[in-house]
Amino acid sequence: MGPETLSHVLRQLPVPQDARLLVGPHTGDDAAVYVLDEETALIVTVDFFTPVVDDPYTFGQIAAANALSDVYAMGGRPLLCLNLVGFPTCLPVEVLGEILRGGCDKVAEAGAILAGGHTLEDDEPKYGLAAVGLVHPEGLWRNSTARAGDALILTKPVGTGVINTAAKADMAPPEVVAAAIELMRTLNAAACDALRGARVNACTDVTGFGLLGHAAEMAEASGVTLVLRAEAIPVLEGARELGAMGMFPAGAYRNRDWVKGRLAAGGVDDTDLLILCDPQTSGGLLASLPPDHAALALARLSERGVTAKVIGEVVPRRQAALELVP
Amino acid sequence: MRIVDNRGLPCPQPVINTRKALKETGGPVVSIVDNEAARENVTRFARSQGYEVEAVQDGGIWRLTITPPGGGGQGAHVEHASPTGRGDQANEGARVILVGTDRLGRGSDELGSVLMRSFLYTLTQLSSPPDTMIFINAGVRLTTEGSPVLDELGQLQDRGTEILSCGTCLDYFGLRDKLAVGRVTNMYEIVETLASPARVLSL
Repeated sequence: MGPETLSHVLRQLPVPQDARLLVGPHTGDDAAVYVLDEETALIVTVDFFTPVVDDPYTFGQIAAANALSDVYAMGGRPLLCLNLVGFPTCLPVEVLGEILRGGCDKVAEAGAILAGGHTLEDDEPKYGLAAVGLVHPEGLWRNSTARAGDALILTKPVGTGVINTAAKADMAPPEVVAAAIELMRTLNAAACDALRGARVNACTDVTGFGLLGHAAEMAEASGVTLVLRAEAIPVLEGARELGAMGMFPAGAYRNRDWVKGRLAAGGVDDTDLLILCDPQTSGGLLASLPPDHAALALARLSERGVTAKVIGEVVPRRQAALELVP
Repeated sequence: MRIVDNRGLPCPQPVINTRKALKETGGPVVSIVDNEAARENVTRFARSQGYEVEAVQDGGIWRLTITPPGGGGQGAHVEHASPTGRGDQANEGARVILVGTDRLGRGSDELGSVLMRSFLYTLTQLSSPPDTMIFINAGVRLTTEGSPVLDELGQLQDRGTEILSCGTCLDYFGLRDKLAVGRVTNMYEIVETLASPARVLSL
């Protein structure tokens, strides 16, 4: 669902009032966070979707990596997971077995426990996780605390949405699809671990609203303006070309329409803008850190094999929440 | 001209369908879409392949006319035909029937109704039915509920004839929500179709 529609529906719900709820629904953050004691806060999140790839085992891995990403985006460590499954009666049950095996392996890789789940009959397969993680309340990364002067780091390239759409149309070269799959099933665990060694002021993960959508949410929740340099933003090989051939998912256009009212973009062409609004599956972390800490974080990310880039900076709030420069 | 109806289809299906039609015919192709994402994606795709795209919006529907560069396609065939080959080339142009009445001929209304039914039935028996039929004025009584020729028009549509009814005329007769075959069109599209190098038969 697009950000516009979602926020409209959510506005109608009461805002929960509890001092122990550190992160609730109103800042559009990745997960809910609840303090247990001075040392411990609980991260709770849920995410599931329909298959983005043909292979069931790979789909399971991707869906699990995507769900766990919300825990990493809050700076936490995954602890417990539950499967959420929708499955049609007309498909062989072996397919379901493969999806769950992929999810189970990914949860194990994250060092968490898969403790159960819930399955229901559905017209098409859906899979994901409800995940619980732990974080020290002082080490919690919100999306609403970016500060002017910060540098912005992105830990994965964008473009998985347009490549997945092109794969459905049989228009994506196999090596392009393979690179996107590899990226989607990569946990944000190493990126999170690397960033923990630096002072992170704010963090979110890039998923359905696209890079610009999540960046705009961070800017608005933090009361600052994020300035992104289009050229510095890493894009998956082949994604731009496929976008220019009309392979953008509808979500990219929805995100662009929502972002447009919050964005000042001079000299960036429409295809590039759409790539940056492309909805991501299991995308990277977008972290906001003081510049010296950003340098430290980049070194730590590189040590762990994560290709991360500085893609922009945070300035005091200007007219638009988001500025995109070529 | 091949018409690809993408209404109700999610991305990337409109692009897939349009690509297939262009591959098979070389263009021109008309791609009908009903949302912004599909409109932009089909336009992007066609331009990336070197085609020219012209969009006409009618409410929430876009009609994208996709032509090879330099105005190729059916129109060009006729224009560039050599004098000796003129007759054959003209046969390749689109055939359009403009129906401005629900009765055929003047004199007796009763006879006119019978003749119109007979005419449309005979049309269904032709080896190659017309490409487009445009119904205007009282002609829209033939495409709406209660028409005695819905079967015939349905058959023509199944065989590839595009059935278009003038929206203003439907409104005038209070028949807008009674349309039973084909789709609503507007004067822009009517004029565009009639003004193209097509063979137009007017009833």
